[in-house]
Amino acid sequence: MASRFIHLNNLKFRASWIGPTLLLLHPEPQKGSQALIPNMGLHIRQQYLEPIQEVVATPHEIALLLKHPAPKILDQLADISFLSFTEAKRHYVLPVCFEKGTDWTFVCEHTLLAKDAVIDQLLQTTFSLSMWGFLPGFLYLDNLPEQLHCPRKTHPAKQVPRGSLAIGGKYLGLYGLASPGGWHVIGNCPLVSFQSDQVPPMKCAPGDTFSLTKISEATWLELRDQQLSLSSYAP
Amino acid sequence: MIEVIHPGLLSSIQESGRKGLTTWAIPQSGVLDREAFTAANALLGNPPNTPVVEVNLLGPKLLFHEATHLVLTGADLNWQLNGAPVDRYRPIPVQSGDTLVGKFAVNGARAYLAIAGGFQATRSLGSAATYPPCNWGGLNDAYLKKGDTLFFANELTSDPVSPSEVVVPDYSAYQEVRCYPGPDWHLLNETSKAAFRNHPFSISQQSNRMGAVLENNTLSLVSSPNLPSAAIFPGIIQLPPSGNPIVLLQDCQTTGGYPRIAYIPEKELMKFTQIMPGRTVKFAFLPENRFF
Repeated sequence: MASRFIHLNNLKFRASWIGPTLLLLHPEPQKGSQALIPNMGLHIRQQYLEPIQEVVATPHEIALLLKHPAPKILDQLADISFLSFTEAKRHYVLPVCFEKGTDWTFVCEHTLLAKDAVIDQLLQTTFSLSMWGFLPGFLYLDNLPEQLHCPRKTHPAKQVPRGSLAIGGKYLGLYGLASPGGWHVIGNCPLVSFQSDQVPPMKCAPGDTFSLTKISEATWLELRDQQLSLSSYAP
Repeated sequence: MIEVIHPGLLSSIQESGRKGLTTWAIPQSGVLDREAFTAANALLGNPPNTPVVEVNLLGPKLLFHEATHLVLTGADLNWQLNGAPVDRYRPIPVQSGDTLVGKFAVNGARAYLAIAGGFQATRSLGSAATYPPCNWGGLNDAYLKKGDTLFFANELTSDPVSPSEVVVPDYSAYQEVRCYPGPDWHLLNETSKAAFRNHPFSISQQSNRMGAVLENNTLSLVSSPNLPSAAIFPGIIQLPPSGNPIVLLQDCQTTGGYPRIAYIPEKELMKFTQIMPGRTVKFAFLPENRFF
């Protein structure tokens, strides 16, 4: 695997080619927030460089799939200005109906905490979006208090409803679309976080912060009917 | 319109798929064999990205309720129109009341049916490609089923490419697929590295549009890694703990945590998708590129 170093945003990356159209960039050494590299990936994506077809960035890697072999892409990348680049810092409030959690028994048994104590800790936490998930519309929210970490389910649930908030490992996850799910569902947020009719379908970005607010089932129904988006909700 | 008497296997409306959205975890989706798809529309005079029906291994039975033109490309499914064999890779006129039937594939694995003007489909995130896990695109956001009705524009917009200009591929010759070592190739033990290059795999029958499982040549790693989730694309070969590699296809997710042992570039991946499940495939490495 041929590799060399390049600098992006004053960070050193090892660039490795997997054939002429797949380029992987790994930060060396790894530092910064979980959201830094995904946000840099988003910034690269938004430059619309001609040879780039896909950009997928995780906290440890930026992967670039090219439309065709482009030997000069590393120079083009090195020329990207990161002056306007700021790690996103929008804040969202997620209204959550905790009565809609279906896995409270496991979470309480595993954490040795009462449901109200878990909810209290969740309400006091400011989460940050680490990355978009393995599934369309899935958000990985970082900063879950260590006491609330739970291993994933051995047998994933066949269907988890849209808006489910769930604990998996060290993350709190938000299912933007209904899907099978291996995380422990502790509530539901009635806001629309994923819009299939818009490109991009999600406005939030890695590094954005999230806090939770508790709502009743009646309020949940009301908000659900309004089809509010994440950014248009004001508690 | 066309009535679906029998849907065949995992038949769906497809086109080139969703581009540039993997950043937001949107799978690329779209046709598995872009060459056969492109040829189907070109031979009919459709614009390049016109929605077609993609069929896997077993063809559908379709009843036409209006006269039109169609083109069949990709796998040879022993297509028959009103019981008489029809050629692939050339325009076929059909009349109202005609029945088109595709049998089990005899050469290749994915077939394409293009129709004059293209199939009507819902669009999600800029594409008509069916992506059933999220109910996007296609006809009712799903694979075709018995009783479905397919609508199409039934108009030809440009001059078709002449059949004499298109080479009909012989998929039975495909046994070797070329690839590159992936970022986690070094995690394979020496025996497995040799086995990957020297021994054939069989393509499992449990293959779908997300991925194809490779069997009968189990690989193992030097140690069990705990890798963070990383980018995956169609063509990436992952190694789950079972030791049976998975070749990711168009409907794959955008990140995954299994070691990425190899990568099949698009042109070779199209070849791979035309090898029938149950048959064998051998991998060879392409020369490393020198862009530095």
